[in-house]
Amino acid sequence: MAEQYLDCLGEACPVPLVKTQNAIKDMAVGDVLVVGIDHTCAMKNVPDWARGQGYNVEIEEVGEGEWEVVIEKTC
Amino acid sequence: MEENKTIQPTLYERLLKKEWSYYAGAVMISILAITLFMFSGSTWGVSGPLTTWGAQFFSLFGVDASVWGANIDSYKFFGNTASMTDFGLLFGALISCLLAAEWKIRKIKHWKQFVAGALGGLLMGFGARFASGCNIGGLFSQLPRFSVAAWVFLIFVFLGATVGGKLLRFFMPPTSNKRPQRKRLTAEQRKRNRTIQIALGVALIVFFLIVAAVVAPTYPKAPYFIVIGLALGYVMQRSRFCFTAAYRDPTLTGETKLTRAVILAFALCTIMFFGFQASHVDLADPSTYPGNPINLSLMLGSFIFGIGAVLAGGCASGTFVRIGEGYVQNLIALVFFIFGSVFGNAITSRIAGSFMTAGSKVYLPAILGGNIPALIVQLLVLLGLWIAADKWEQRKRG
Repeated sequence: MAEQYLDCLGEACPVPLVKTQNAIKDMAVGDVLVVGIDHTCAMKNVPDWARGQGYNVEIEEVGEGEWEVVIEKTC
Repeated sequence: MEENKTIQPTLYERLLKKEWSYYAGAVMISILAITLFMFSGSTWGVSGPLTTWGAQFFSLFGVDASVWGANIDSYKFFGNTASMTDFGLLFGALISCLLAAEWKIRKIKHWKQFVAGALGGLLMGFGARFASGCNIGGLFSQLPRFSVAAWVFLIFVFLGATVGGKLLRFFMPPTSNKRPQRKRLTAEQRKRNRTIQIALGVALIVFFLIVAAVVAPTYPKAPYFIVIGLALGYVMQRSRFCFTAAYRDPTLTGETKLTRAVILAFALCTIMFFGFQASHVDLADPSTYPGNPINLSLMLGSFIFGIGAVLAGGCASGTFVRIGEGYVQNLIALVFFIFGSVFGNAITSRIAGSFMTAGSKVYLPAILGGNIPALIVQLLVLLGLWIAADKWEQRKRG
């Protein structure tokens, strides 16, 4: 149940999604990845992709236009 | 993480914060594009004014703009539709972002992002001039009008975006797993910030309505274009619409949701343009055909444009929208897009008439023997692409 943070602040699409995909690949089932994002488009495609993979996704707005996407690798 | 607390979104969140679906964006953008066409008589374009702005900039230093093949003497901001809709994209997105209380300056944190924005912008400027339009003016506005050149643009911009996706890893900032130190705001401070942003958003709306009213006596059509431009920016921001992603993501991330939304927009515009096309284009007279000629310049330009759009993190329209949202990387991209347009224009005005521009316009109904066959074929091809994109995403997910 390791938790890892991935800093994608200030990064434009598709960099956050590519980095998220790469990070998740190396994680074990049950691990949690927290992605820091401030790109509104990435805020849609990162959770979209993760949900499509069947992972648990939670989103917290930590500041104006800045979010943390919490992805649990469930499978 | 098995929490099931369902927080009901407030009315504010539902109206002004929650993002729209890509399909909703596609429908709205199609309707706005057609509305723009009805009011202005020409289709939506984005990259055109950039050459003029660049030439104006150089003329400040005494450079004769005609050297670059641009005419700035007759240019009037409120007399130029694309200039108004470009600013509309920027400020519409800004308003959308402020009303959602999500605006902030999105700084670049690594020099590679500067390089990506600058190089991407330059390539887009070059590409748009070689292809006589960006993916709005040369693709989105022309494909529904049965211009086969737009299909050629689509193929080459897709190839360019795929190459751009491969190059992207050289421009990605290094992966950092350190959580940035951030002062957590209290609930009260956040509420205050939110109120300020919403108030600014409302103030901007009022400001632009005043501008529209002030220029209306001199430029009777300008208010329409200001409002349509702002609406386009608002819709693109709210639905997170991105033309670049539509042809970049299938090969890069395997996602095709935006691809399918753009295909839907193509289909809707094809249907909405159909009556006009059928009644205004004379199949026997090629000079009435819409769109660009198919030539090497178009293929090269759309390919380069595709690479640039992926590196910069947005095409021409996307760049304006993201600047409105506060992205520094896209602002860099715009500056270099303008330079690229001016230099690209200087080159294309010299290669005119060479083998690069040898080619002619191809109009789908002319080669298929009628408007109805063209409509059916085009919609079937779009449907086929939509299904292929859907299958592609499922396959990529494994």
